[in-house]
Amino acid sequence: MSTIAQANTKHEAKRKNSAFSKLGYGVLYAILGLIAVLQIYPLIWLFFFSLKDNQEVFNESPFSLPTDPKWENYTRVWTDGNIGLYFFNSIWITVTAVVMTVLLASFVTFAITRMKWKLSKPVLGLFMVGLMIPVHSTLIPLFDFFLKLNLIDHPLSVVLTYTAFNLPLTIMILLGFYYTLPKEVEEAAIMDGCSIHRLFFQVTLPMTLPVVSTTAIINMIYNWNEFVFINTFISSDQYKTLTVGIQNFIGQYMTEWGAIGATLMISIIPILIAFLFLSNRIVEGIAAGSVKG
Amino acid sequence: MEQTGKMEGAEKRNSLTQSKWAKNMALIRKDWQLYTLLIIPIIYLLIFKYLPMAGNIIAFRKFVPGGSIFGEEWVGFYYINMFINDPTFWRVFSNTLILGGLTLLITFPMPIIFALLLNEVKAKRFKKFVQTASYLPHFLSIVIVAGMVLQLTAINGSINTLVEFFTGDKINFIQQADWFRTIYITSEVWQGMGWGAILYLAALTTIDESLYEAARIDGANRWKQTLYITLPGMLPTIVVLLVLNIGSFMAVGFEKILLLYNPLNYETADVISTYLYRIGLESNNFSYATAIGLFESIIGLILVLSANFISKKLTETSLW
Repeated sequence: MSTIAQANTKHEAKRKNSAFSKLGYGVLYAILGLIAVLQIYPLIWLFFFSLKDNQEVFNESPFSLPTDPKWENYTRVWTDGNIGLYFFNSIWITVTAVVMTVLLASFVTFAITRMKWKLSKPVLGLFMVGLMIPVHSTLIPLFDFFLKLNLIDHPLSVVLTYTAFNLPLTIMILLGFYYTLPKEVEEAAIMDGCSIHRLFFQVTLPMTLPVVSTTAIINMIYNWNEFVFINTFISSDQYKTLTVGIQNFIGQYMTEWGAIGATLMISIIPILIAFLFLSNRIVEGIAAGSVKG
Repeated sequence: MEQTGKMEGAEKRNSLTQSKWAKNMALIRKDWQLYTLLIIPIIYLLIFKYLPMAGNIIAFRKFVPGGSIFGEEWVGFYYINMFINDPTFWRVFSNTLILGGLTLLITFPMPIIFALLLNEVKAKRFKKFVQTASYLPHFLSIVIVAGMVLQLTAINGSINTLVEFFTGDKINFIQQADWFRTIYITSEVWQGMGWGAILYLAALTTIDESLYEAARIDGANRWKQTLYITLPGMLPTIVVLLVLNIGSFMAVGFEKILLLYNPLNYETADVISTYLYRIGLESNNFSYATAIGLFESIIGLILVLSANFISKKLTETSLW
């Protein structure tokens, strides 16, 4: 008798619980959905914005669709400003720095995880502490340093700086992958008399391609978006990248809102494309690196 | 200093055991391939990250543009006294503390809460969509974010259209010092919440599923499971990130503030890093800027060391 009563109350509790949890899930999904919308909406707003002229911007609701999309905003900013040139500069500076960072970081990670030597822990520490050195405290000394080398207003200053500043994070992500990579293939290659340099370039580097591409994307995005160094080191128009170019452009065209929206969109598009295709990779890379390291 | 000390030590050892030196050289020669891999990255790091730190010496030396990067002559605490007596310095100092404190208080817990919420979601596609959407803003350039913020908050901007609709008045957000902290923190939360949650979500996947099963059998509801299993499982990650965040407390949002502030909101927006940027690169007073930067770094170092010490005592997890 008592067991039945117990079972009944238990059952009752369960039913109450499930109604409760249904409501709870409803609220949970609503909140998360709202967060997702809030995270994306500003970009959609920006896109609509870039297709309006001042009249529409000032007289209509900010949520309204552009009635008569002004695609000429895009063509105008592309031809009027030096956006095309900045775009090209952004690409080659980004690519050069990414290649250098990934290669150098792979060297270090290989030496730290694959070879046994006394100073490997301190050297790793040296790189990791580098993560914590803030940008603005190195800015003035570096400016002075490049001034000495006659590299101020020379794109090399930016490429060198980007490479150095991305090394620690890149190594951190690579480490996680290298630790999980089995050593047998490399051991076999060594047995066959392969030199360390050949081993690295022909065996290890190809095996680590997935994580190398992850770090390359992350580096690419950071370099593409970088502002302070390029703004400080580069003054002539011919070497400026998109971020600085846009910043100048915003100051110049403060009254033409649609045009500003269009320039902002132009510089976001490459990032959006990279993001849409590769966001999973980035997350996996970061997560793996952090859990292991 | 340290380097010369090391070299002296090396010489002493050298004279004592000549053979050890030879042995070391032989080792280096044997492993030359290792050193070819390391030499470039290490030199690189030293030049770009640590040499600037050594350049901090000019905080105590008079620096002449075009002269030695380590300055011309000792001036002792001249520049230190200069900032102690500089009212602007104390304004930016307290602004840094307030803004850093608010950032830590508001933007640090958000990713944890978000990760916990997301962890409860069972629909895989929905979870993925929300997560992907959440960290998209992290990848936008500061310039873009600042541009969007300036557009949204301008006197004719979108937010004011709404404000005018409801109150009939317009607010010039970006020119009023009172609004700066709200604008800054909101944009930080928008950009950082999803990205910050990645590490927590990764930590959540490592929690043993059988713990939850055992808890369910013992009659623990979801709330209790979160409180007694999920949160303790995330604790090491939370602690490490908290220590790191406290360490970068003083370096709060340099780039974003640089792009968002203007003389009208200096009163709340100007922080140490932006002040030394103006002194150093706009007024070319490198020594003074470096003295302030050094002071800032020392506070940052003390903060991170004490945070690490406290967390080691309390939770037995720490950065090192």
